[in-house]
Amino acid sequence: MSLSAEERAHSRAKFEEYRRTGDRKLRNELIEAHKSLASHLARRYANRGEPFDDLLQVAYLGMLKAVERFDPDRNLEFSTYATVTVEGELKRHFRDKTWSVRVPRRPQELHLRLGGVVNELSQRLGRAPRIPEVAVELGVAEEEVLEAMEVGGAYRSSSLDTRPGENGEPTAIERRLGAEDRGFDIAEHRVLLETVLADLSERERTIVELRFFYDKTQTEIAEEVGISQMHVSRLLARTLIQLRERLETLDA
Amino acid sequence: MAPAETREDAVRLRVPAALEYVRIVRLTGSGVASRLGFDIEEIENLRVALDELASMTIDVASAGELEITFSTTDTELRIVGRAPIAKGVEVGVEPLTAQILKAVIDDYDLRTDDGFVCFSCVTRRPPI
Repeated sequence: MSLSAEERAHSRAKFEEYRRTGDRKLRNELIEAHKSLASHLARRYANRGEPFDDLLQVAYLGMLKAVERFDPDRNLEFSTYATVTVEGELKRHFRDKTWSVRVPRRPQELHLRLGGVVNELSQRLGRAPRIPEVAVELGVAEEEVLEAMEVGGAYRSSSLDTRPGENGEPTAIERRLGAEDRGFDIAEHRVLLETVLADLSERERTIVELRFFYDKTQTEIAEEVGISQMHVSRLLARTLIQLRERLETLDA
Repeated sequence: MAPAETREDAVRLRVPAALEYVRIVRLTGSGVASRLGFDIEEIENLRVALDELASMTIDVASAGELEITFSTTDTELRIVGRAPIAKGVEVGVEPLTAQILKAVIDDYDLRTDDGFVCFSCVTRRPPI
């Protein structure tokens, strides 16, 4: 976007005035004046699965931030500065919002902090914490805690995320989905279960047995085995996936 | 059924009967449970149960929708779900799944009913 010298001076004067006065009316004028740049940038990100209206909103928000932060004394074209800011906002939107495609970064980051906080709270409270307690401790909304938990423990459906095997081999879950015969023999299954349990490491087997055969809580197991509750949770999730995959392989 | 003096709220969810959506089911379930004051461990248990039950239901469902209702009273969270069943499949709970469910939830059921595969489960808790 090239402007004439006159336009540039005019625009600069406006930005200087806005910085001086913080006049919201002036700010809105500046945003209005650059709306076409915002929609131009939003269009670049269209057709990636997000509604264009949403992208436009995000771009306007980026433009608002650009106008508020732009420093005319830095001898930079506003359009250059705004492009960077708006694109940053659009990229962040894709990172945070398109979580049906991949796990968003924020819950992932939160998940990493979750374990420590849950342990700390469990010790302090003498019981497993509730979600609002965890949310306060992490300084985030309760929904964010729940989403962070999702990152950690996708049990069965996680195997959907695994890529198809080489040479077009179906994955375990695909075989399962495609199976026509759902009949199974319980006695045979029990034998299978014992076989796969025997394959686990001693610690994994202990945890699975304590949890599912002796009905102990994760906290009780954590104490018994001498590891954290979150660690028990992760081990259980992983072990269950392993067990299921083994069962499916043997069963196929 | 809830006694007359307790309030019963219901949250209803409809998702495509596909495994990708189990995540949404878990997330909704844990949100409702958190509202009831479940602690993080109880919620993890519920998530495991929902994972098992929803996946089992979807496994035998024909393409269609999985309808789930989460109803809460002061003392329990009851979840029922159903989806149209595929032709010629058998519905049953594998021993491993049965063990897991027994450990994580107070009560559960999986059965067929007039062309639908239906599950239900209940988690009870003392009044807050």
